[in-house]
Amino acid sequence: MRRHIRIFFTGIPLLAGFLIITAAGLKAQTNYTLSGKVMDAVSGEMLPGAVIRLPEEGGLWTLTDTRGHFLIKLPQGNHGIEVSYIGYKPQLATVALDRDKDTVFTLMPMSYFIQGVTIFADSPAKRLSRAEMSIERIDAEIIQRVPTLLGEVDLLKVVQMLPGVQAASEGSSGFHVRGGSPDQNMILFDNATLYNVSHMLGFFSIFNSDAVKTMTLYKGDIPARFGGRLSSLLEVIPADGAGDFSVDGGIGLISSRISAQGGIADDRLTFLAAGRRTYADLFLPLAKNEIIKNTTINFYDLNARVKWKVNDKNYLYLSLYNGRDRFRISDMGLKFGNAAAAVNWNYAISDRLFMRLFTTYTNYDYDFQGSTSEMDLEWISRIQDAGLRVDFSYMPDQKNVFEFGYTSNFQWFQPGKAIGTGILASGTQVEQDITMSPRQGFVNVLYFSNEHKLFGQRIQLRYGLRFTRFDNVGPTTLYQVDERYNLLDEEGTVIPSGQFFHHRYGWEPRLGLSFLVTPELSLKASYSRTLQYVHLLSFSSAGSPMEIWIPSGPSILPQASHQVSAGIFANLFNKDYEASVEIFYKHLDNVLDFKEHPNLLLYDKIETELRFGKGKSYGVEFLLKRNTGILSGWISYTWSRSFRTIPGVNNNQTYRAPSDRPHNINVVVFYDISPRLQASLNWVYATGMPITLPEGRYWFYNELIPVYTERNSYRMADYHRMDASLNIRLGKPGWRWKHSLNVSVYNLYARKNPWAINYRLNPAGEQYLEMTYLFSIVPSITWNFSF
Amino acid sequence: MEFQFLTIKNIRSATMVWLLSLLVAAGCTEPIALRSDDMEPRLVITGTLSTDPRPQFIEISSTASYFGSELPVNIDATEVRLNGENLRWNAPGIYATDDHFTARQGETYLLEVWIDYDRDGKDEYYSATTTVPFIHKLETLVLKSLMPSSTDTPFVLVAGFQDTPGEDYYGGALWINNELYSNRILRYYIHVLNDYTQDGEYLLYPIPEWIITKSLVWDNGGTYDLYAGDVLTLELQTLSKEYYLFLEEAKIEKNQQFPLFSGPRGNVSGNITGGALGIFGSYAASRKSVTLPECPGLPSR
Repeated sequence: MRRHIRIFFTGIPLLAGFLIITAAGLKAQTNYTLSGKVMDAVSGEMLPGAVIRLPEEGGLWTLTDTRGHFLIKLPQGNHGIEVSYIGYKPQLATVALDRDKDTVFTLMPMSYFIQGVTIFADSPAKRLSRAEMSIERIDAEIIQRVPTLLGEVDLLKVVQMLPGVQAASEGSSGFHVRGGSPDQNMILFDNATLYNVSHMLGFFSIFNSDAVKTMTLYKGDIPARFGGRLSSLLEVIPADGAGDFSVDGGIGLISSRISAQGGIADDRLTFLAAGRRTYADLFLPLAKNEIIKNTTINFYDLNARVKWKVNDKNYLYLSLYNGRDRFRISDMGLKFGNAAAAVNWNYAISDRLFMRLFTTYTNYDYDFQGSTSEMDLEWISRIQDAGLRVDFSYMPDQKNVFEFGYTSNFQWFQPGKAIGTGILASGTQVEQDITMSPRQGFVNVLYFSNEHKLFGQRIQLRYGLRFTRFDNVGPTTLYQVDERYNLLDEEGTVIPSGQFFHHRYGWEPRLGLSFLVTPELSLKASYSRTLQYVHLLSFSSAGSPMEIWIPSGPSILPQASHQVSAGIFANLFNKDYEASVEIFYKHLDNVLDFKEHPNLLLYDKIETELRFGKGKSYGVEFLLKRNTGILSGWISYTWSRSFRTIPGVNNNQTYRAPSDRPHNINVVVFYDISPRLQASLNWVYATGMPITLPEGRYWFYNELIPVYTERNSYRMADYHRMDASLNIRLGKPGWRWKHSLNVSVYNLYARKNPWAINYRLNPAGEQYLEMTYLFSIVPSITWNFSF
Repeated sequence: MEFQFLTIKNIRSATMVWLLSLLVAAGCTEPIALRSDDMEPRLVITGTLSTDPRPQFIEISSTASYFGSELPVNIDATEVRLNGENLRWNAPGIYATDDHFTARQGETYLLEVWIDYDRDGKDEYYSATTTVPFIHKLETLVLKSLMPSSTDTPFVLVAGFQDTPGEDYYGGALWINNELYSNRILRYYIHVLNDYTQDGEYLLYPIPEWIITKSLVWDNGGTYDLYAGDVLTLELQTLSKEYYLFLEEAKIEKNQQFPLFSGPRGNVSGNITGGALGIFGSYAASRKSVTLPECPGLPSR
């Protein structure tokens, strides 16, 4: 790492030299700054990543930033400007520049002109030229077109069909990115950290597509302003309401949704509210199975977003989310859910300096209620996260974008508390509890980065550095272990509330380079180091809402990774197609796993059950996609491997990580049959998930005890599935009232993909394996409307 | 000591029932052809010493494939010694002490086995040691009704004994009318007492493993019928640490029929040196009996 830091610091004087030379060259004539923003002409939403091109200035161009703003320095005079954004009709304009000017460009969505669909939100030009790599940004429109389970549009299921990404298990919202575990993915909803994004045990995610504007997945080359997880960042930006009051909705077999949006005072104040509610359990009483008959299973979620344009320089945003699941079988049940709130203030301090301030809060909790013959049980767990972040962007010229800022998050973990109510022999009703100690973490981060364009913008260099400090804070009972994982003190040390008792520091350098070889071909490379101070203790590969998160501590080391990646990116056939090949190698330190036969359930001294070691992942990702036209979509193939070497696990030998699934193919096709008829189809293939199986057995105490050889040495059957959907637009063109029918089929050829594997004994006394699968063919129909 | 009904076992049981119900409701099952490879057979040595005067057995066997009908078979060793004394061949792969052998409390025993398991013409050497724990005398055994203000079923067995300070590993085996009910690991009770407030005191310890009504539920879902007048005998065992740990992991392995809350699977840790699987452990035993009373919840024979 020292070598990388040295390169980083020696690079700064070189960059400074370039800046001086560039500035000297510009002195010869009078230059003015043209700044402004690019907006959607219909919704009024800002368009990040729009291209501002000056054909007469030798092809000079720049992009709007994440808020849709741009800034470019030009000589005095008239300039022809072309503003374009994928999915929008380009706009040509002439600007007479005799002073610094601020302007607004409004682009009309192409959907007003032509049929067809835009796949990825980024333009081909932007994807080619920017220094960032391993990044995918997808619009809500695409998310809504991918056929899904029971017709419930799901952002995370689309994420799972991107190259380098695999679902953690059938139906799960969890996903592996480049060999990482699901807890190594940071998921932000308007900058609020989410710890569990599942509805219905993971079959659906908490993201209502009506309330999502875009989602961006960083698969490793994470910008310096973000961090906290090793593998990826999924940034979900909520949709802003705009325009005249309108209502959208859908009624499906298991759920319905409705959203409303509008604006007042020339859209200075806009709002969007969206809600979903499932009612799958309405039909369950018709079932023959008694268990299913007495089952309650539903969820709801509510989203709200308000945007207030205080003036041209100040914007305020408020985002709210609340969702809850309810599962009840007989007299036992589980309730779990998320709540999140974010307030965001965007302030244009000057034409060149912008500030964004976020305050966030999230809460995830679950509450299990069950009973045995002896007691009634309630088991609760909770995670809360309060955050503050301030980001600054400074654009001194069109060649540099400096970003710097500060982030602070306080995390409360109540890993588990079980309360039992029973009656003693004396007749007294008593309450007993098993409570895991609360744990608190406090993370503070300072970061800095610059995106620098060189050699006529053909080269983009991005470098940055994060400095993190992590503190453990009381109250808690601290358990520490020695190098053999034996407790130093059986009773633990009681830490009073508010006491900072342990801390760690970390540096996270980031580096990215992009070389535009030709206008249609670019080469990119990146290096990133990331640190992770919170860890998910996952009880099962099958996924469960009843998992626990814990922070790092004296005996729980922060996980760390180094990732290098390189790729070649090309636009083909007049930008109709995009192709890319990326390779990556990731080294992991302090990656954790459980010892064999761990004590996991409500065990406060969890430090004794964990083992830490090293991991590595490597692979290559191929992607070919067609962005526009009546036939569009993408095909991706990923070959990757992922291994762990952890002392105390698998006889200290290297073993396959749960995410080691070498081959992964995703095919997603959209076909616009006619203006009224749109079809979609996707096919997913992945090598089977690694599992541990016994190979031998011996007698002890009249029982056959299994004997294992190696962890994860076997695999479940390969996973593959095809889904299809047909969207039929109803009603008359031009009417305000629009409605459509969506017919979708999940698992078209009824593949029985394994979800879990258990051992069973047949009547002859022979052991055999039994697979549990969740879905066969699942058809659904949804009626969507808007007015 | 208060009856501890809120135990990890009970919590696991409550959540497991729910999750299994969920699985029944949500999933379908079918046998699959995925088979694990046949591993190279491995040597297994198991045996325990008890403070009861009786022949003590050491069993030597070879593992069999996990899947299929083949069962593990016992194999003979060249020589088996306990503290330097040869054990006598009793049956294929089974070696015994003399008929009145009593493991002495506090004494460490060395088991040595010579066997040409890899058939290279030379014997390999395997060994293990165990230190026999001290007896915790079971002084009282009573049936306590779990019903408020009642003398009816369900009952729980309450064992009264003097604990010793520090970590103690207890086991409990149940006989019903002199027939061993705890003849399998899952019907056997183990518990470690090391971090509770009454350490070293006289304990009245309710054993939550067996809730006694007109029938005891077997681990395979069947029931064992109980009647008024039946005699229940509890053998309170103090286990050597390695034996307790082996039993604990073996119970976990046998309980792992559902993937949630189970953690990664692995071999049961033993203490045999030389690469063999198995355990050489010891325990000190003390027994008491109690007769099931005439009460509305129990039929008469």
